[in-house]
Amino acid sequence: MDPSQTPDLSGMTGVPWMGRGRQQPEKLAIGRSRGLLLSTEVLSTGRARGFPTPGDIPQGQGVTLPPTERVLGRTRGLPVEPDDGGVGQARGLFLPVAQPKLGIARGAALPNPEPPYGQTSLCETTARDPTQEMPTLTAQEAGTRNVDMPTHSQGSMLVSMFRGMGIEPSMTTWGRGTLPVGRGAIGDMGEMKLQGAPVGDISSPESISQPEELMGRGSSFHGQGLSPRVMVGLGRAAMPQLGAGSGRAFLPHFPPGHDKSVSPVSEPQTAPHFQLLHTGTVPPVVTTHDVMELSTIARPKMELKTEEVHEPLNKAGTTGAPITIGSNHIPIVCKNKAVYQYHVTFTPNVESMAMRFGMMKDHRTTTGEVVAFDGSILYLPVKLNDVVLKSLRRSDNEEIQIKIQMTKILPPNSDLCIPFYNVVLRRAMKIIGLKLVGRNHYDPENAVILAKHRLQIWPGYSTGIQCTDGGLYLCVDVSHKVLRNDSVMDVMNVLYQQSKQNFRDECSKELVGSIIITRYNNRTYRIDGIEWEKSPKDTFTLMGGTTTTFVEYYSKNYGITLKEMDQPLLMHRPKERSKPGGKQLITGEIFLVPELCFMTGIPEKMRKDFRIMKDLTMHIKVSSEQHTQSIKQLLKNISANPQSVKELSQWGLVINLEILMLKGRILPLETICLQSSSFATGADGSWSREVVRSAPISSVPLKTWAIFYPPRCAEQADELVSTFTKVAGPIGIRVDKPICVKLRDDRTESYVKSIITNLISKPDIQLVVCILVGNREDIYSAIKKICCVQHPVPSQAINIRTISQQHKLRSVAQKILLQINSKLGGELWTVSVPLKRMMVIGVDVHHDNSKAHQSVMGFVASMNSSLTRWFSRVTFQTPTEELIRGFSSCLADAINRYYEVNHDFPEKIVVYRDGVSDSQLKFVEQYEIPQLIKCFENFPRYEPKLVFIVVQKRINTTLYSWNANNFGTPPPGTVLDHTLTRKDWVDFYLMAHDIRQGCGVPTHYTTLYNTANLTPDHLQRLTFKMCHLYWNWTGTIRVPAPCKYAHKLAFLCGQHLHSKPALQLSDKLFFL
Amino acid sequence: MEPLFSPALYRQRHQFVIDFVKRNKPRKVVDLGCGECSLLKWLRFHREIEHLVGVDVNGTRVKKNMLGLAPLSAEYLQPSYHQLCVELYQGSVTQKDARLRGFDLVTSIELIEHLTLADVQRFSEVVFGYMTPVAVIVSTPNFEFNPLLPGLISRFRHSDHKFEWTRAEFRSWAQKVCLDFGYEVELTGVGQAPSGQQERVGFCSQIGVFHRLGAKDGSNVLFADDADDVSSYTLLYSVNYPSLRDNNILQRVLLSEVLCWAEKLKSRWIQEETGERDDKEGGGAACLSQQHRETEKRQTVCGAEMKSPVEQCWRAASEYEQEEVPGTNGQEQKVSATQHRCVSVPLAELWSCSPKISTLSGSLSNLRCLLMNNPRVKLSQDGWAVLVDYQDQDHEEEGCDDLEHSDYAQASHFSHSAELEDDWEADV
Repeated sequence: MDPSQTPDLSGMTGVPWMGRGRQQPEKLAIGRSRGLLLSTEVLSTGRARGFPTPGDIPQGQGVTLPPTERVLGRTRGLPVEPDDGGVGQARGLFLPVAQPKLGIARGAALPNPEPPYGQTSLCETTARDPTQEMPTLTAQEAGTRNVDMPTHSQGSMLVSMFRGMGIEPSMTTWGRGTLPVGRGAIGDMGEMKLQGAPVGDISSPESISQPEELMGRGSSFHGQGLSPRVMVGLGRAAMPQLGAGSGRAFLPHFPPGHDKSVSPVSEPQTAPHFQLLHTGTVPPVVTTHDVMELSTIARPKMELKTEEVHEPLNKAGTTGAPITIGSNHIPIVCKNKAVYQYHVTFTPNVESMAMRFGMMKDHRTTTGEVVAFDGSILYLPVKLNDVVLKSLRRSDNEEIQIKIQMTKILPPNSDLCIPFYNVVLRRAMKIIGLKLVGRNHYDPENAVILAKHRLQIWPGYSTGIQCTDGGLYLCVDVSHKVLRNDSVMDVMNVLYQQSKQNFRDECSKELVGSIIITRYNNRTYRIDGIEWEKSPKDTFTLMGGTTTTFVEYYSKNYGITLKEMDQPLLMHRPKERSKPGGKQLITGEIFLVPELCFMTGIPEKMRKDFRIMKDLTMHIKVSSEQHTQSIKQLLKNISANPQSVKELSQWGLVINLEILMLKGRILPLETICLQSSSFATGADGSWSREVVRSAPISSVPLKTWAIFYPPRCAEQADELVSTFTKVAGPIGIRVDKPICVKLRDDRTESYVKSIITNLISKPDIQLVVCILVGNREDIYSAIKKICCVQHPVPSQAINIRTISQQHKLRSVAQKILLQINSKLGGELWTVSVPLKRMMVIGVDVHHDNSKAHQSVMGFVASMNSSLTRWFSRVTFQTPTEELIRGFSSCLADAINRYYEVNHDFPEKIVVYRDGVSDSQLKFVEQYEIPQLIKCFENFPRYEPKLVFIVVQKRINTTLYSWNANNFGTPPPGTVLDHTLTRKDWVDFYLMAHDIRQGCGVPTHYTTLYNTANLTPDHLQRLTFKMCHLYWNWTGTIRVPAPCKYAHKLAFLCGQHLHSKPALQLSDKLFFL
Repeated sequence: MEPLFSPALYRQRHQFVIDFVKRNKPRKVVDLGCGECSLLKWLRFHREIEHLVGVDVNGTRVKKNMLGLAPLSAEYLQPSYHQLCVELYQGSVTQKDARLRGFDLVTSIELIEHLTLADVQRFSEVVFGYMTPVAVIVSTPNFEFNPLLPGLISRFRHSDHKFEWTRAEFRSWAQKVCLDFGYEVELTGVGQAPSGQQERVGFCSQIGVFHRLGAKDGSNVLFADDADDVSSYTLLYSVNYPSLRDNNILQRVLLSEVLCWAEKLKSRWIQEETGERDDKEGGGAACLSQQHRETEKRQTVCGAEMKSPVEQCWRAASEYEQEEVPGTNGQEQKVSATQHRCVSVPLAELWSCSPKISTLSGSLSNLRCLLMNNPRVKLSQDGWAVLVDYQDQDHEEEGCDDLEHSDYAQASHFSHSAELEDDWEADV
């Protein structure tokens, strides 16, 4: 991999972590600049403590032969010493390995200084070539090796000695050994590893949990089984010791590793010539084998461990009828047997990442062209014998030794490898001519131009390689990018023409929050603000420290002449993150010139315009058939282009040409229960006709209510009221004559004043109905603020348009009446849930697009066993604040309320949590759930069972049905719980809703916590049932009703109220 | 450590080339030893260049970086007038390739010092003797500067350097080249020495700018292709930037502009007409409409000769309205009556309203030609007006229920509208 591509990598798994690792050696710099010396130092201190033998190796002498001898001697001496039980096993293991290895190293180096061989080996590893130098050099190599090795052998040696002496090798002893070098965390890690070693048994809980915890600190390293984590941890830990022998650290853990590691040793013995070829690298050869064997052995062991973790991951349900479905996933075959992870050590230490990359680049002949390197960890698709390379540091011509040691063999579908695959995939996409916009690739050549709206639609793909339960898959989603023909400057000009007074406000409204793409690079930025006081004539400071104006900058660098000098600048505030190198933090604002920016995405205004949206959706919404067609086209394009195929084959990837076909299930249809009747849902998951024929479970008689309307709507208001009374009977709702208030005009104040006066004069008003003309968001907000915050009362706003069509009025009135009934506290329908004393909770978060307002969390909890009464709460959070605090206090409130209502606590609590991204799953599991559990402590002797399910509807997975050789949309109730599911959780995909247009995107449910021990079947069916309970829609919806309620609530508060609704309303669905 | 040069020396070298390009406006440029294509990545923004070529002996390095030379997304959004074709070759500068002949500028930045002296000789023959470009920029390290470079231990700045020349050595090579191949040279450099030493050591990178003698007229020699049509280089990458010179692209851009303006004008007129009608009915929008009309007039007055087509079009539009009037009693009737009716927007009106249309098409008749055979636009019989469906306007009035305040109705749209939202979000 090319260093310039690492930024891509850094976004992915484990890299933040790598960045961290990288910094540590930097801290080490002072100590390290002495390089070899350091290890000898450790050695000598260690020795001083552990051995009576004097620390007689002069520092830095490791280069000459004598110390080699001595070191070897000592190492060899070791096994003799500790022969006492217990630990003996571990020790016995390692030492013999070390012994022959070193012996060979010496044997090879010394007696066979045959020039021709030597030379080849030298060319491989060093820049020097004079033949006579060879013997010394090889010796040096061997020497260095050996000096390193003992560092470790001594580790275990020392430990074993302590054991033998009856002294526990405590942390502190080792801490002292490493700490002087001046590194904190890594020191710890080192200690731990070494501590783990003497324990000698993987089953020891401490030794395993510790590295895991450490990894946790390493942050967003996700989706890993236990085994890679531990392994990486060790690889890391090895660093302070100049990277040698992380494999060794395992040794004590895996006694059986020993037997195998001997055999490769014997190989070189029988083949001295082969050995000679690698004079300089003979010891590494052996180590490599050694390490490899170890890790191969380690794996089964580790897998055993991971299997334990995965044991409960029985996620297959059984109920329902089987159905053949397809998905937008394409199986990938990885031809490579493995990906090899190496640790790269630079001696003396090289601080500059750029320099490290550069040096590695010089050795492409050794590493091959396919390289993924982050500065200290190197991944290659090929097995490389451990090598020491040499490079000259350009800055001071110092010779730098680059030691590459294999630390691990990863299976090709390891999570660690996925980022590399995605890097080559992205290149392959570029090769076939697609343009990267944001994260997805688009094809501007086939743009659809909507001239009327000045928009372009670029067809494209969102692609990613994933590893799921079924293996490696390429997930392809068809995506469309909407872009404006005009620059932001043009858009501003149009706005200026439209309203000169409110120009700035209008501009902010239109622009802030939208994503732009620039003319001079392919990057996208989010507009976070407009700097009216700035102009392109202003100056800014370049990286080098020179100051220049924007005008000058663009003209000089890009040959762009700005036309408008008085335009304001757009401001983008980048997220705080470190640069690819991991050193510099990007902060501060980025200013962009409107003239050079193009807006992407659908403008907010157009989003509200049905007509435009109709035009847009015609192109954007593709049917399953079209979806699969474009996916096949992409696969064809990739496979037809030899370059892109070659790119993918770098990591051995071969993409299939066929869309994945799977066996799914259709969950049984549910029965909807009304007051006295019940019926099965239709296959389309809808029951709009049935609900208006018989009475709902309960209804609130509408005795005192007021209807407000502007003068020109008097007629329609009359009509509506009379229709209400007509349809109320069959629905079983009593509707009395309302107080009709004809407003003076349709200004906001008229509504506000009139509503307030009426509410104050008649405090028993149950409901406020307002008829609005046109798209008046301001009036809507004002009404909702009065009725939800100031004078709490359920309210219903009706757009005149919806009641203007005579022939539709009846059905519209029926639906509005049902909605009103729910808002007042009536209960419409339910489904039977065979779990009693259960509380179902829905949580969703609403983020303000322009970031002008706080994010809002909506929280809804069921209060009865038929799940028809709901309690709601809202919390606001600043962007930096965590959600948890508000969440657990809401939960406490809900439990209290439940007790008040039922005189009993809920036994089971099922949380459907929306608004969690993939990367946040771990966080939710580690912080949010424990906090919730902690909340139960507020109640004496209360330990309910908790189920925590994350609901994700914005996913790239699409499911197709397969009928008569045609792809279609799967019916409501389709569930998929294998193959595409994640390795680490019990999860499933459920399509609960009926799709009328476009493609079937299921909702992904991930169970993060389940002490109620609900089986996969129960989880799936419960979730499907919950999708039936949204009273604003007479059919199934795509998410569980509580989530939808929470969403509605959060949206209302975030978009219109900007404050918490009155508590009096908390047990009504006033937000519907 | 304070960097020795600010901006970095390599940037200064690149800037030198860019400044040269800005001054001399070469149309065809080749960069020899383009390596990571960084110079090319900057050069491509300077659209005086129509043909940009990179050559490097290391094909893998080029391949790794070549995708960075693909057109940016914005190029497709607003294609420029300028054409640009970028090509990358793998090949050695010591070998000839006919495809590189006849360029306006050849740059060879920090390249020759990687060649053996014998190869430098061959390089001179290939570049100056065979490719014979109008101008050549050659940069190479100045050996005399080396003592000033901190931390430079070995003799040369890079282990692969076969030589590093003093100013005198460079000059003598340059002069010989000039003599042999008929060029004149101007020696300069980038990377100023610290104060006072410039005179003594010269620039850190020395640069020779060669001009072919007798090429002042700007035209390049045309080669008789008979002699040696060698192509020893391998083409690795070739891309054409979208440009308005491409007729398809021009048509597409023009069409979108025309349709947009036609829609805009149509709705403006209809608005005005309905305003007028309201006026007759005694509606309150009278003064507003009046105002509107005045602004409209003011706008169109600017082109006096345009006035008559404007009037004409007005008439056209109002005629349609007139026809409609009998139908206005019944709402339904009106809809059906206007179903197949079009508003005709004269090309002249479009041409004068939108500066973009006028610049894109050049002339009115050209505009007509360009639109003539496009199936996506309906022209009037004589081809001098664009016909826009009137029907759409009705729909607009009908279907412009933006925010549905009846929550229930909103909910009924919910199931699909929510899905849409998701897809769009995914797009962002």
